[in-house]
Amino acid sequence: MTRQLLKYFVYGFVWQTDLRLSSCLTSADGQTDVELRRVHELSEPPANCLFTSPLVRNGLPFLKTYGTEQRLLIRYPGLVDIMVTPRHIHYVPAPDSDMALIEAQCLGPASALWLEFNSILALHTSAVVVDESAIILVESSGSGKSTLAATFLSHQHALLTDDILPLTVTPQAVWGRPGYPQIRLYSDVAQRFVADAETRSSVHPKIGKKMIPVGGSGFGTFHDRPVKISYIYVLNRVEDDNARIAIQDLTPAEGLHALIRGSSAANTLQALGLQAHRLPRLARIVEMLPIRRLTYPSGMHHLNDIYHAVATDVDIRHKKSFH
Amino acid sequence: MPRTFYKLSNDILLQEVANEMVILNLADGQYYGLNEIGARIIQLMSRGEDITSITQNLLEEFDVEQTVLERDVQDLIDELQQHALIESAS
Repeated sequence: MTRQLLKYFVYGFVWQTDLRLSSCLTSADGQTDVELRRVHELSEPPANCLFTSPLVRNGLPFLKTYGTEQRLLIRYPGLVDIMVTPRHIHYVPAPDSDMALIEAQCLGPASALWLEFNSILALHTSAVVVDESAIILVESSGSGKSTLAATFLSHQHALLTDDILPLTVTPQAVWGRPGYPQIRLYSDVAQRFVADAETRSSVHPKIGKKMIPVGGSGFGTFHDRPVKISYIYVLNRVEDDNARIAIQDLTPAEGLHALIRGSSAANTLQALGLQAHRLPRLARIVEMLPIRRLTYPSGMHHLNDIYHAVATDVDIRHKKSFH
Repeated sequence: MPRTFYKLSNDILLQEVANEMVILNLADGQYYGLNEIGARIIQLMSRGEDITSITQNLLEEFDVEQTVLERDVQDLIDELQQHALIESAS
């Protein structure tokens, strides 16, 4: 049975899709930028393996990617095959697959590669709006990006993204496009911010992260328009309860490396040879924006202090830029 | 005396950022920042200049003693080779 295709705004583009996107996306009109839909089989799937994830699920690699610069197959064995081209994202679910998980892979890594195919830089990051511009919280998984972003939401700042951040570099500014209105938090963290967190769907049955809707009647507010980026904070969480919260400038080389590490699907981009095209744009971002390392102790009882340290840093820098 | 040439490894990318040269090793994801002289050495090396010519160029461009410069050039080459960022092309 073929499902009706509906149009939504995702990452600032018009998506036409048969997925019933669970994250309260805004309906869209106008010309479709990308079609995301289920197909019975993928036509001529590429066979050359680009990347095999070291993570294993049910005895199989969690993820394998195959393809060329314009045609990429992302295979999650036992879950879904996703083909990404500059105009389409087509998927073939494995039998009895969890559609929420498929949606997460389509909105996350597959979207990031679609953006990169269209020459838009895609970082895997969280971003929140502070004083009419956005700050980016970047680092590898597990460093507390989403938890810190949730802390900003609880202080009345809007979420720009909690997964993929598409960036556009113009001569005057770096612009970030909105992601989708959802934040993913581990159960214990979610309960701190959302009263009914336990009733929310999990990202994965074996992962304790909850999908928390943002905006509307959900948690906090969502910023649904492109916004200038003002600062980038590279998160450095340390497992020492007595560690001081510290904010320090990174060297240009450190900043560039942080942005490369923070790129979504970095291994596949590298295997496709796309890093060489991305580097000058990432370097331009390093030259245009302050990139600072935020070192902070682990533990939820420190979150408000960390929030105030960043908010004060942003405030001081804003004042400096006006004088 | 034989001329000694080096070339950049296939797995590396060079990027200038804020007047600093950064070498990225795609093979292991490591990165290295180079100062002004280091960046110039890499630039001359990638143009196909041999070590004697590179040293001569640098002596003309920077205010530095020849013995100090020769040692610095050799130290950098040793380090770049250790990290598989360059390879002998002689």
